[in-house]
Amino acid sequence: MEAVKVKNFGFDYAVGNETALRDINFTVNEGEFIVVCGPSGCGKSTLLKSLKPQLKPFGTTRGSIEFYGEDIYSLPEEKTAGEIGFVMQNPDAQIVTDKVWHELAFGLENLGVATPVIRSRVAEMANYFGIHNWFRKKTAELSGGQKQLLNLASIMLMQPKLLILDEPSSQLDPIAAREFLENVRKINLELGTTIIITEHNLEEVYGYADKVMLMEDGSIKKYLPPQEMAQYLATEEPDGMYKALPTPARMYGSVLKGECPLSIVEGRSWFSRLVDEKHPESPVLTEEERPEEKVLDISEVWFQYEKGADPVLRDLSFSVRKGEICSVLGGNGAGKTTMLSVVSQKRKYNMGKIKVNGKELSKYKGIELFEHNMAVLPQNPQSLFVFETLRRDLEEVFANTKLTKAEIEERVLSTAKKMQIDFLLDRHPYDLSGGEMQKAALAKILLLEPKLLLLDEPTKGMDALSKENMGNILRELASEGKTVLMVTHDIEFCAKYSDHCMLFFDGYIVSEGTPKKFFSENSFYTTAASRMTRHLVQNIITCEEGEKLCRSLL
Amino acid sequence: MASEKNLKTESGISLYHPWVSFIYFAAVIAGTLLFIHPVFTVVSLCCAIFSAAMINGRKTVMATLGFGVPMFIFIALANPLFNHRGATILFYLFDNPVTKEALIYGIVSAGMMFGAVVWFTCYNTVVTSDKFIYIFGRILPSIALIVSMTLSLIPRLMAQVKIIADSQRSIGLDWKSGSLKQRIRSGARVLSILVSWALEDAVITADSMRARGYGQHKRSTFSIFRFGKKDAKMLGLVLLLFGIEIFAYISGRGTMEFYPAIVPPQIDFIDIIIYISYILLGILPAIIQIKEDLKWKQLK
Repeated sequence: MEAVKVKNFGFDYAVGNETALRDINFTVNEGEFIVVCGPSGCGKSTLLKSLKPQLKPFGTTRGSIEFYGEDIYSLPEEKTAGEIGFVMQNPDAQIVTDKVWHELAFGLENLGVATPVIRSRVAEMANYFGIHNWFRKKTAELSGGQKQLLNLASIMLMQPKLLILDEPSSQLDPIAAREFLENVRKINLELGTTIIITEHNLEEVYGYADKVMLMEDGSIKKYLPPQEMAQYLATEEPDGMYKALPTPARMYGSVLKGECPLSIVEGRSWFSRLVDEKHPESPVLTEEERPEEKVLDISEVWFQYEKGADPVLRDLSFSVRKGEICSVLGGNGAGKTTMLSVVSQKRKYNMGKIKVNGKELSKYKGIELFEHNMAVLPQNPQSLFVFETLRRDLEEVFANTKLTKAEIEERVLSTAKKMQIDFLLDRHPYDLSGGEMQKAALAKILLLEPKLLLLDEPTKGMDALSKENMGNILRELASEGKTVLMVTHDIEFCAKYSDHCMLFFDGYIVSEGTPKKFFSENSFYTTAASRMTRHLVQNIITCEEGEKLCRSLL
Repeated sequence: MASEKNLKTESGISLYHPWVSFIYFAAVIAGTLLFIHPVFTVVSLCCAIFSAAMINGRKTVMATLGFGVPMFIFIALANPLFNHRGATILFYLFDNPVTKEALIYGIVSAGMMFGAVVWFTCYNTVVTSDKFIYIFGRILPSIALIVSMTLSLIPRLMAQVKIIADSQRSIGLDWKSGSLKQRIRSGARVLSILVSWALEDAVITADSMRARGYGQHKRSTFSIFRFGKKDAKMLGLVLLLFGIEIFAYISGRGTMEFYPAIVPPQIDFIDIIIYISYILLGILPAIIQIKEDLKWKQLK
């Protein structure tokens, strides 16, 4: 049965310059899982919002959208409010009320459903999603992952037939993101709800999809099952969306032999068949050579939030050398972000020594630490912007200096060019996409000319292309002699771009080394390429190395 | 008694339906404020402190007393110093008469204020924000939703202020250091970012509400509270005692003449019944709590 049928649909915004939609034709059958992908600004959000009458942007439409055979815009609002669920990006702002139970009931209250009915449905849904343990909590006390799960559950309570999700996991850390997406899959498999989802990161959802829709410039370019889509992208767009595919699909794409694998398990057996009788050699590990100069030197640091509390940092020692990109990996709540806040003087440590550029941390007074020494890229980049254009925001960094106007403009422009955001300078900072905003924030802190950059989850919410862009920018900075310390969950990014990786666990660094050594020695905490190939070939870490290996086996 | 540290939000009178606890506190606080009478005031104050020890824990009560006792002394002394009415002059202070009546009236009204403050601390623990919203949701549903939304917004804004201040500091704009002018400028920036962020979020919240059908239908109001037999029984008892209290007030048995001279009340049988019922009302939360604690002991 056709859940959604879109015929010759087009849309033009009444105001603004966002991408319009044209010649959209597709059908979604009941119970299907559809992944919509495309570069940022391709119109996926506009399309998704057009499928939910309450959220349709201002503008004119052409053609038609049918929902179970009826025109979607002439259906009664009560019907579309309940039967089409829409989950947005921002976990916080979607929550309306102060208590978990109230938030769950909110939608049904709006439809005027009687209390006893709400009571039993709330109970059912809370059980289904495992919310019953925090049912009576305040919404403000929840973690990001819990908040987004609550948003999902409170929409599922209205028993939608179609669930639309617009980049739902982009503001969650990878572990919470995976849990969330697994829940979406569970809904699809167990309740038969039709799903239409966009994601910045296809790694997880691609394998769940029945069909993948590729959009470009406001129209649909291809609408294919994932295996065929991988084949298409590998041949037609090797430098575009292909890079966003999960590792197994990319390794397949590099040789296009056999059936396209979508999961690691499928990938392993596909790789075994590819290797067959050949005996590929494992690349050898080279000894790590680190630069001498220590930009950040932490030795035996202890930190507790309060007296008698569990230490978050226990005897932490490590160093970051000049010109290196160092990554700190580790689970949620392990204390990685606390470590950053101790290094950036936000919190005072109890014992031990921290030296920044050879000078002890406690000797830096006031904001001296941030004057040409250290800069921090915060997790929420919008907290850096004040003005109505990005240009003014960047120029503002020099407000207290004696530079002339021309010099300031010159510096802003050259940094913006380096970050490839020069064409965005006259936009409002809040109108930028996640990746663009992250780059703009990085530009702003680079104007302060720091020697050491601290980055907290720099790839959060970024698509594959933005990540590659960010990675190249970091490499360029490192080659200019800047030093980078980042805290991240993004194993693939870390493997590809860092010089030195560290695993943070139980308050200190448990293991460290070059990415190659680090990830080939780990068996769980490692990249997809390594997990796919390690049973036959050692020391393959990044997807690119995997692709190269596959090609050499042809 | 159970743990001292935790407020008893999930035991004793807190386990009753919001209407029961709300009407209960309305009754005791009304009694405390209406009866300017030594017997009632003493009963109310003692019961308030006793209940607070049960509901809030001993530590919190000590803190309340630390604030309440000086307040009590201050009011008790202020009245005779500034109010010179009354027939029995005790002595002269700076040529002004200090009367016995004014002194006693001061003590009684200080006790009344003190009692009311302590009762309010109990009310705060028992009638939590969601119970309050529930009660007013019945009367003014839209206001109740606004209160609930505000309560979710405040912690969010607080968290955002912290994030903004931290990231501004890391680009060298710290509102805690520098000259006054710089600090004001930095503070204003934090506020300005907060406002744009909040407006941005408000658009999303509005979308999220509309997407879930807000404003299309007459809303129903859901609550997790259920009114059971034990609630009905307790409500009946509270209403009965409240009724007696109202009767006492209307019949004038709850007030006493202080000026010009104190007339000791003639206590009759009805007065005794009133006193007993007032005491019963005052120690009701304690009785409920003790009964529950005993049961727990037996179960062990």
